[in-house]
Amino acid sequence: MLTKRIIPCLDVKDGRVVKGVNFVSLRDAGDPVECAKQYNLSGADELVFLDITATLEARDTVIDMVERVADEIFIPFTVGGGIRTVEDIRAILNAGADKVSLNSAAVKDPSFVKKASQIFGAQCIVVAIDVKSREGQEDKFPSGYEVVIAGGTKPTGIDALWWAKEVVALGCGEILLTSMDKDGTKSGFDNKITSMIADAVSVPVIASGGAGSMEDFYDGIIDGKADAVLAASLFHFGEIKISDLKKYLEGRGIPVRRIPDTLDMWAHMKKNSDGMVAVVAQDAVNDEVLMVAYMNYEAFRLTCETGYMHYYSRSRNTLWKKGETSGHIQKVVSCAIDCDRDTLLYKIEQTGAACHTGNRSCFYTDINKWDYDKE
Amino acid sequence: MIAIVDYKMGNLASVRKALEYMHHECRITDDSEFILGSDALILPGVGAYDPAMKALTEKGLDGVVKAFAASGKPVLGICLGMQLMLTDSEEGADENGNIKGLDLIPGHVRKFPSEDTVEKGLKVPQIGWNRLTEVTGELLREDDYVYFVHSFYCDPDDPEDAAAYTEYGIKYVASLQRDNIFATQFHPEKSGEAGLQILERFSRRIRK
Repeated sequence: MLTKRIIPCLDVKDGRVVKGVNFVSLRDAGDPVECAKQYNLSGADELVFLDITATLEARDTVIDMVERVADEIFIPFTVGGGIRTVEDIRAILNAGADKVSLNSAAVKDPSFVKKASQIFGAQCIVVAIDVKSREGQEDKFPSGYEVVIAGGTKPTGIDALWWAKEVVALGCGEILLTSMDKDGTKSGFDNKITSMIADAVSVPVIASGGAGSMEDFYDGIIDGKADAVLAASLFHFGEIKISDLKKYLEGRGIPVRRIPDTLDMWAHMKKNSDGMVAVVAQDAVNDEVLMVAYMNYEAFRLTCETGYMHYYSRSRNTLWKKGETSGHIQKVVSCAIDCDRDTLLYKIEQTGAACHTGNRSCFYTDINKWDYDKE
Repeated sequence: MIAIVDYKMGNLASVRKALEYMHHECRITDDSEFILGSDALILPGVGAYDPAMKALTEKGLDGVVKAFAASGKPVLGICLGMQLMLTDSEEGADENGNIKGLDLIPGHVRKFPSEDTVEKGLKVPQIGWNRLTEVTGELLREDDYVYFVHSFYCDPDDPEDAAAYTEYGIKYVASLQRDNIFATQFHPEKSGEAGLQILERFSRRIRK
């Protein structure tokens, strides 16, 4: 079953995250790549970068940022803000973004949406629609909502529901709907307009603006019929952790993407330049250090699942179960990770010898008695 | 060396970046000789079926992919690249029938039936994370969540070629495997750590 997506939004100015992201582990809370990595690890299903860079000259910084994010983050991400031309879109997609989000430019020239969709495909064109309630003005705005631009400061005279249908007809692949009335209020998404649009269009709708509690996300999905839910400061300031939100939603019967524990642990470990983690095997009975070797993910997973040590041999380029041929197997008693999160210490019950030379430990050579000339 | 076949359909850089992140040597290329001399081949792709087949054929890359697959070396089709591996597709079909594919694995590409999707409130294309079930393929793990963006799905003639299923209105094949030929309807390069490990297992198929 398709899961509902949880999407953190990062505001970026001159290539730096503004409003800061409040992760304790971050060395540089203003670095978009660091923030993106943290969100990826915390279970975000997708990311949105909103570029609020004011000057055109500084806009190259966004391309650089997109490239750096794409080098290290392997979940979909969207870039929006100030995109006006086909060339803007091409540059951002070529730099590694999966989608672009169009806002004011689409209102000013709807044919831009059509052109962009024809050139790049509907799947990478998101139209961001900012709306304000116009209750009591249904003669002018039949849905009761008006499209606004320029951060909510400029009314357009366009009905929100009509515009949503229009951009889908023009070829947009997704709608990012933000309620400007609700934005920042923490009183919940505007589920009225969200559901109205979600029911009327054939593309996914991302609800944005107003989330303050986990229940708000649930309501946005159930009452608002949103396919995805987006928030910014709520996640940045750690008020709600994405992993907790997912557990909550899952508990209430909403399908969400879960990452198996072993894979999640592996994703959080620091890997060496071969993509592996060093492993120290220690005798659980007498604390003797028996060997040092490496694990890739498969070796780690199999060790977790079977309770017997598996390693990855870099020289033979193969995954192996310790003792598979010799019978000198290693049964896992406990496992710990070091302070740098790049080395694992396994306490094990060793059958026979750990070393391939037949010695109990690989460290049988006193360095002062090492006859290296003869080797 | 893994050759990522360049036929100007979709963002190939993501696949390259994911492989590089996992420390595998790769190159985006349309050079037939280079491709045939590589250790593994990836056929990515986003877009429409007919233009994609035309683009491949124009450069003679259809024959190159087939020859590579026949050599026994590992091949991976991603998204549209998976669909191109089947016999034909309903996408863009006209009075002459379905659009012909590479026919590496017998089967047909079909549109999601609207009575099972759109009419039940499911959006087409399917965009987002879905779960792999009934996994038999060696690259995949049961219950992995992976990222999909597509309106058409693969329907292989022989169910033995299915490597995993998923469900979106209907149950359908999310991945194929026939000997050295692998294919995923989803994007492993956009499927987080689970996806990176799928690319890792594929890359490890290369005989050193």
